Amino acid sequence: MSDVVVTGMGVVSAYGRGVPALLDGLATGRPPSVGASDDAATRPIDRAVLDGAEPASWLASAIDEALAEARWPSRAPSPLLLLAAQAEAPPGEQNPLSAPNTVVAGARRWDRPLVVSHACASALFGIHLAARLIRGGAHDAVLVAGVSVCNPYASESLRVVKAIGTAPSRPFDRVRDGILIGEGSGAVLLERASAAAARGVTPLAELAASVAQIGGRSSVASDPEVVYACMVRALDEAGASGLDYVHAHATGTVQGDEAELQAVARLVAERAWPAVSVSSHKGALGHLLHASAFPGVAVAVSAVRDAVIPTTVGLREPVVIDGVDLPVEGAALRRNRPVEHALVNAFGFGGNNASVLLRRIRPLVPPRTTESPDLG
Amino acid sequence: MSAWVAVSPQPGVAHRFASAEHPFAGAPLAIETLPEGTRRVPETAVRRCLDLLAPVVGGSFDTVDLLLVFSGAFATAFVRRLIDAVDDETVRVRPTDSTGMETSESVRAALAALGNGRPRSSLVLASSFDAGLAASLLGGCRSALVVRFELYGPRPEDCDLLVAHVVRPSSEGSGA
Repeated sequence: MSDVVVTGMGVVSAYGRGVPALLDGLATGRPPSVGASDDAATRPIDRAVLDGAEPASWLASAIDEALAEARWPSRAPSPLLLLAAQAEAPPGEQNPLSAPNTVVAGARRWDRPLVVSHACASALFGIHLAARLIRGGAHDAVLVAGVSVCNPYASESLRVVKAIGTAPSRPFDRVRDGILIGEGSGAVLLERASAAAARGVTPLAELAASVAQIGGRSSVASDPEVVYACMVRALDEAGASGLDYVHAHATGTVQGDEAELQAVARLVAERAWPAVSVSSHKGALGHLLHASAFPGVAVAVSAVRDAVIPTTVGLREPVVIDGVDLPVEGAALRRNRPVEHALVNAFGFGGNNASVLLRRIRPLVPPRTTESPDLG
Repeated sequence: MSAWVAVSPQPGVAHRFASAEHPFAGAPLAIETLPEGTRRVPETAVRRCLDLLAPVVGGSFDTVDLLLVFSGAFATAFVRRLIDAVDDETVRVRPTDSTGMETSESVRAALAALGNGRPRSSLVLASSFDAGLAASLLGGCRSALVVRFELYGPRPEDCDLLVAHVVRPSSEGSGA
């Protein structure tokens, strides 16, 4: 087993509060209801699905869920918190683009948490940093969390570089035309495998590898070479002999989706692997910006744990590319064979490129094979 | 073992670091102000720092295990610039107000301009420099670069760039 494992996750999304709500919603293949907005660039959460919970509570909600799932002892010291965000707030001021200076979740409080700032790849860079801190011996457990709430500044930051599309966002579709901004929060608890075992906790997944690089030829466009290099390194570092699923960054832009698909296709072709299933949550949730990788990690954890692979909401006319299976919107694929490896990608302005590879926790007793057909 | 340099887009960097406690261990290889005629922005300063350290790094930046950036007040100042531009209806928001918010963009552009590879891993913390955190992250690295964006004024351009190359003797082990 890898020396770093995922033991807890939390999410607030347009499907509701909690990871199960997200996974159940995506499994239906239908979009969630959307809240009212004057800004055509945004796809805010319908507050009714959260029983009116205000955005100020979303980060704490995700953290609470992750710690509860990990059975983190209530009296134990809090794990280190890394926030996926743009910047620290100025002294005495809070604005929608800045990280909170203090995070309170339940009885826990973190003052001036470290801010991991890698645009829309921040959450995966945070996971990479967490893994380094655990492997380096500085910490046994690190919590990575973030929240994104629709605001005019984020909208303008994407509008000014012509990245905004029309509703709804349609990743991988022939008629895709850009990003719509969503909102929500996420949290993932990473632990040293031996520490989790000592607590008697069964991990959700292994962190098989993480790659976090700054590179590329453009400040805003994805570079297929760098995307490819990230994925290859993640697979090689993990010693993976195959790849079952990619939860793509796939924001719905013409160039970005194409670059990512090219990279996946090249990877599959060069290794003579069977076609790999690729999907994205952004057709359903929109783009959660700094927090955008959290739903992807939750989906990938579910893929390796439950062998469930969601389709891409909004995808009706997929582009065709060898080696890549792009399931159109509809019910999730339920594999009757184990999903060993699931890769999560996240890319961002400023040359931010990250891939995280999750691996299935192998059961102590091998499961019996079944005769049911493979629905995937 | 380490070597470090300081470069600023604006005059005054020599004064700021001539007598102050050095930001990294040891004496600097160079303390420079970007010359007139160059684009006096942090991105150019990052590029100059990396250029100055290239002989020390040796070969290519591909050999660097980790590029670790601390950009606390700089990142905050760039966010303020975007917010002010959006709030002021007389100001046109520029694409660089958006992309410049990403500290990584200065690093990306510098690496692309130098054309000499890229570190295997990079991490940008929009937090103040933390020597203890840096030490815990560099422990497993054979070769690393630590970059500090140190703001001394209200604008993002009012920023000194400090970059240290840190190596660990190969006898101590390998790999990040």
